[in-house]
Amino acid sequence: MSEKGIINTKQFVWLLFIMITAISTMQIPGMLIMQAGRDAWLSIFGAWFLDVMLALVYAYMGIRFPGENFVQYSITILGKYLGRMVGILFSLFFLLACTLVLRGIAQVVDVVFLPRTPLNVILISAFLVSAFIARKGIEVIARTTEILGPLYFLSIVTLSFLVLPSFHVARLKPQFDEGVAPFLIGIPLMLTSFGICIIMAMYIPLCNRPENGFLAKFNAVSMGALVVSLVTALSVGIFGIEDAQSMISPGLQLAKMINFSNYIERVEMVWLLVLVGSGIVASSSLLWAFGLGLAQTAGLKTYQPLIYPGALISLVLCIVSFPSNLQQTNFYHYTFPIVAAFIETGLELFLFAAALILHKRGTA
Amino acid sequence: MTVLIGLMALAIGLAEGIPLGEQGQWKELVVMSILLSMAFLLAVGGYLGLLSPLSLLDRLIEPVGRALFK
Repeated sequence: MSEKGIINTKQFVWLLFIMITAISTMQIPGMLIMQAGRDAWLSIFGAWFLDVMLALVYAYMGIRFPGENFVQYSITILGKYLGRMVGILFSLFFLLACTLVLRGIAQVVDVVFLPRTPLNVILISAFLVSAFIARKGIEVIARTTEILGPLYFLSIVTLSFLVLPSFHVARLKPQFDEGVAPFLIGIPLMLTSFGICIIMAMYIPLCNRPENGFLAKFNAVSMGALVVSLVTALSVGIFGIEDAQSMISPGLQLAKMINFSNYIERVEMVWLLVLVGSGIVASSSLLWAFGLGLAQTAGLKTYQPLIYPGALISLVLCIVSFPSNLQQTNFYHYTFPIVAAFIETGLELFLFAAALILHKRGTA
Repeated sequence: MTVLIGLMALAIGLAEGIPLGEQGQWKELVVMSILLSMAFLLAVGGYLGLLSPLSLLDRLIEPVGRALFK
């Protein structure tokens, strides 16, 4: 296999945690609040439950096809041609997710912190760093997440405590005021963000204990759900639904509120460092998955020469497809959830059913 | 920007392609060249005002998304 790196279960957890939080905490809380109103935080728990159920399928497939990721077992199950087509779909999905994550980061940095810097300069810098990390391989990405992951988690918990005095629980009540429809529609929106954890199928064959795949995913998605629900509930409880739903990054706005009599202020810079850092590591992980998946589909010996070209395609897509922030936000809100639901849930369940019906198993 | 993308593609092609050629990894070289050409063609298409694959996807799926979500 072209990737020779090995990760342990702890690294597996932090890799997935960073992936979930990078995708879910930046723009999604605002979209979710727009969708589900004050029931947004409840939708997160609904999505968490469904995602854990989906993780059972991914973990089972990882064990049924030992040493194979989903690009490889697509070929084992569906044969050389159809399997490769499915494998390419997974790889392209990772490239799409990478494009959206980095465009989202660039948007936040551009709007909030560097309004005079051209967006393309921020984008090119972000892509260069991501590609550089991705080319180093999974072990380097995993070690980076071991530092960033706990930092991210602790920063959210600390942030929550610091803004708690401004929180009004009455703004979260009453639940289901407009029926269960907003809550139910919020679940798939959130699930597609948590669903990026399908990348676990690329990590399982590289984990020193593949049987811990489900445990790693459970821990990561539980922490991720806690973080996103904290940001969402605090945003609604502090800013109210009307303001919170129109914010680019509610977490950033929460960090801006922290001010202790001129001793502690501008804490949002620390938050931004963590946010951008985790976003870049998550996108490097997605680029790595794209490169590895494509290399395995094409039967190449190594994936590394595909990382920079993949990053360049992603950069061009960012520039030509989303010339304005509104276009990116609309794509993220209305188009990405449907594409993601098809790939993350539909395609994997199809492979699962096909493996059972055709009695296919891994040979390793 | 299109020129810059072209130069970046060229730089990546030389940096990655020369070692691949020396090691005789022709298959890897071909796939890498295809990806770089795609990046450049996408940039040229964007310059000429053609729809990118994501814009096309957006046009196809966004109406469904708008019907489902607020």
